[in-house]
Amino acid sequence: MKNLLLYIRSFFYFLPNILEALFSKPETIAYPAVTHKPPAGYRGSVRIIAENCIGCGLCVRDCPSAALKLEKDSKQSFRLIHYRDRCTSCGQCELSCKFNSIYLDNTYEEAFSKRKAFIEVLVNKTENK
Amino acid sequence: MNLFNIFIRIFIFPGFLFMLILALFLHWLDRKLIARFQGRVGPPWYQPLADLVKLFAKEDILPSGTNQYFAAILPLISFASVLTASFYLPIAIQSAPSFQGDFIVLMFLLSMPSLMYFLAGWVTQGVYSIIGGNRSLLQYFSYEVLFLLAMSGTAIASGSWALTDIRLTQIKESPFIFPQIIGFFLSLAGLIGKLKREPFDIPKAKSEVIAGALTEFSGKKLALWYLTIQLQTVVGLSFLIHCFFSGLWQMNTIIGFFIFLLFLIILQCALSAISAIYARLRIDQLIHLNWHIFIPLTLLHNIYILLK
Repeated sequence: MKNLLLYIRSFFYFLPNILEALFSKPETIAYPAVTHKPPAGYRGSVRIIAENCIGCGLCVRDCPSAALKLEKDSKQSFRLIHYRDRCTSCGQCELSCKFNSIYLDNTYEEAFSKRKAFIEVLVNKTENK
Repeated sequence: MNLFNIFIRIFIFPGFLFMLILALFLHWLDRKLIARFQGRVGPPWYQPLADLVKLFAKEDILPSGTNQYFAAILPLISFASVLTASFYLPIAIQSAPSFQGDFIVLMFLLSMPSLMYFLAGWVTQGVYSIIGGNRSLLQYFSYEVLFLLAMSGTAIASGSWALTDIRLTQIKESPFIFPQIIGFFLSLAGLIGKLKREPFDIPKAKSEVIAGALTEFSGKKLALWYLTIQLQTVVGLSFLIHCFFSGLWQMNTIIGFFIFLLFLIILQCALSAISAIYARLRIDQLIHLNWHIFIPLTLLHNIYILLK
């Protein structure tokens, strides 16, 4: 009998909720035409402030999905390459970076038709002679 | 009644075509309402028809080792029995052929699809199908008793097993909804079990047994199964309206017909709200609820009607 009362009570408990949903606007949006605004702190694509990067390789060492690669010629000349197909947007690189160089912004539309487009050269520094 | 009238009655109104349109409309209403309750947009009005046409056009595949004829005849039998049930039910504007005991016939015809559902699971031999079929049989033993007992309260009160007498008693006294409101809610619970809707959708629990006994069905047969369940909703709700609300309107009038439709829509909204609110019960919870609470309550209710 206790269960039955619980069932009846839960009906009247949730009834205002569903009626509110019935008479308010649907949550669904017409996606390609209208875009959804991501919440604050959303982890999207990896971006970089190239001036701050010194090529220390901390982000490369810590990346759990091996999405970053550092090609180092010398102390001044290096390239930081990002494989976006491997990236899981975990944000570890942002945490590891000591120079406020690498960070994640809130872009979530990442679709490419060619595999080459997934490979992005984040930093390309050459020695000034 | 000449031959033309009989043809109209069986195939157009209130026979096959009208019931089909009503079933598709109520199915759309159900889906739309549940979607809106959950904050989604929901399908456009032609979606059930489009689904049906698509399924009828699709290739019909069954797993190898299945008895093809048996698998084909099961949806046909269940569809035919529900359609026959609709023929015995007075749909507001047209009186149906009534005889002593058609209440029981209607009950039997409405319970046929559940048995066929179990056999469908048995025949197609898939793991999910067999589990779904067994679960449907398990559920069958609880809600069917409840539905019959709760609905028979109206027959007891009117002293007859004929649907016409149930209606006439209601016109003479008052609609049974007022003295038998508990019986109405109990039979609604039984109907939800019969239709395998939430919270009694254990036989076709998506996250556990995919589509239950219908997992291996496709194409025309699946379309027929869906149509059966949609028609069963209409017939079951009409049965409920006839047993509890008829007497509120005049027979064979346009206004009466629209009042009947209004009741149908209101009850469908109630079913949708219940679907949206409740989560699926576990099997033991269902058995407990039915055999420990609902059925004793129904028996007490029926004794009260008998003594009155």
